[in-house]
Amino acid sequence: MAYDAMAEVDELKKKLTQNPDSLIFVPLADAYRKAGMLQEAIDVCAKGLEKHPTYMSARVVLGRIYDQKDMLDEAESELKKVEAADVDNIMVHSMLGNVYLKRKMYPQAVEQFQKVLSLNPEDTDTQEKLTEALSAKQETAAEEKKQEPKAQPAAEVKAKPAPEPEKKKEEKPAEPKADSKSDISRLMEEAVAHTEKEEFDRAIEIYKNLHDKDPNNMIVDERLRELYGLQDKQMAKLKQKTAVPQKKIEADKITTEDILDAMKKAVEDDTVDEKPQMQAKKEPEAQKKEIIETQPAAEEAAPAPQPSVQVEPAKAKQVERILTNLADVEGVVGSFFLLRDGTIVASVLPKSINSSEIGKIIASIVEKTEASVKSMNQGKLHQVVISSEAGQLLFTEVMDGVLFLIGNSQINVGKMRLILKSVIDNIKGVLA
Amino acid sequence: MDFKSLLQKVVESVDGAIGAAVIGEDGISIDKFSKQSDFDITAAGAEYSTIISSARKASASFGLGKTNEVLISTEKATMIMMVVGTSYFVTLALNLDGNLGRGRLELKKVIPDLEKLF
Repeated sequence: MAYDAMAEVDELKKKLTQNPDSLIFVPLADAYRKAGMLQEAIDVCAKGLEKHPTYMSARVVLGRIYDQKDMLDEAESELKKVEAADVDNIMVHSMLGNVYLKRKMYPQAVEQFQKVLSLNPEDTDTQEKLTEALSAKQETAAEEKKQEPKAQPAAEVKAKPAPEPEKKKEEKPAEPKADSKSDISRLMEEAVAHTEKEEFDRAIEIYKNLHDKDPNNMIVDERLRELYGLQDKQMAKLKQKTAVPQKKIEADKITTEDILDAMKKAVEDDTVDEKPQMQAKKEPEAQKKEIIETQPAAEEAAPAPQPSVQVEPAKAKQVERILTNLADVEGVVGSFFLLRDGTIVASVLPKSINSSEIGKIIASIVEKTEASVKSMNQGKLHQVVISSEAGQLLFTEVMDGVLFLIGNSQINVGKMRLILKSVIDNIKGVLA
Repeated sequence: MDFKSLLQKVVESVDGAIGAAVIGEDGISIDKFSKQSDFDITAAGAEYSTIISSARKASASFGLGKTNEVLISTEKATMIMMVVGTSYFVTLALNLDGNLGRGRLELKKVIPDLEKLF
């Protein structure tokens, strides 16, 4: 086992020497970690990060090494950087949760595990960890509560050295009343919002702070009691879920067909999804019947920055016509052609998708993908197909631009590629 | 069967396959099998993990749910990446004349076996 790890270290070291600017330092750091050479792993990773400070995977690996070395502050710091850059990184939330659990920072651990479960509700390991963190958190809270009544009588005996709650009690009246009132109502609104989202630990945190500021506030006390009850129920639910056999969990899962139906219905209703970031405003009822809207390039591109390459309006119209024909193909939800700077030349998309915002996102993805392909010495990037639960995305280079196609999950990859071949030829014919 | 044996089985059953690897979301390869020594599947994993992450964001932007598969065709090779569990993916690199359909099929077939090993 140790021999294998060292062989891998040697092999990767050789590769890094041959190509010092590559991202191979990450697998090398991990190989060092596996070989138990944690300091070497940290050194390699830290050095690599000097060259590639935005390479978040390296920070994940560094966080893991710090965690293994019980350098929990450092682990937290690295993982927090990744969390800030990628809020939906499930692995980072899970690792942060574990780090907080080790540090006995239970509210933070609970928060991280809840984030993991919001991204993947079927993760039974995390369900167990959340239950563990919630129990520990409640035990800590109960112990704190037990200590509170002991502190109360002390408040009356002025001669005794004042315990902390008493100190706070005496300091409070000095605070400006008007400010604290507006603060309290703002915080209470926040707490209500968290309660509605079932983020009970966050709501409890707020009410506990309020309780510290104003221990006689009966409303706060009442809310805290309610929240502890709700949290108990949540925990019981989780425990129950953890005990449920795998088959049952699978039966409860939303199937791809459900998602497809929802998506189809959304496209028909022209509302696609409530979640998409680029959701457009609702159109007037009269226009709702029209499933797909063509978005002429000239008007769409108007507020965008000056494109590096210009496409004549007449040519843009021709490209738009090609895309309109493409929309008739079964399974095609929409398509657009954009320039490298994200400017849309022509698009045929459901109204709910804001093409000008999407242009920038896609341009950045294309740029990243091309950089990776280049770094791999794989020549020019031809095509990328992304298959997801409810549909597919395909983008391909066409001269100075990128053709992007959205299909539902019924369209098959082979068919999609075949259709694209003729569309690409047609667009090339127009732009040439 | 271990990771390497499963990967070897996939590579050997697909015409034009160069290599295969199981890679973590962080770009670290769990195991790999390569037929061609000049194709560095470990480095590919580190690079392409960033693409998987971009693909996930793109899918989320369109409300398409979880990403299951990413296929990248370049001037020199085709790379199929399929998600395994929540934090890993399996990747298969093919020559330009490789059998893409068979590659996808074999990867889909091996995923349940790979998942059992985590």
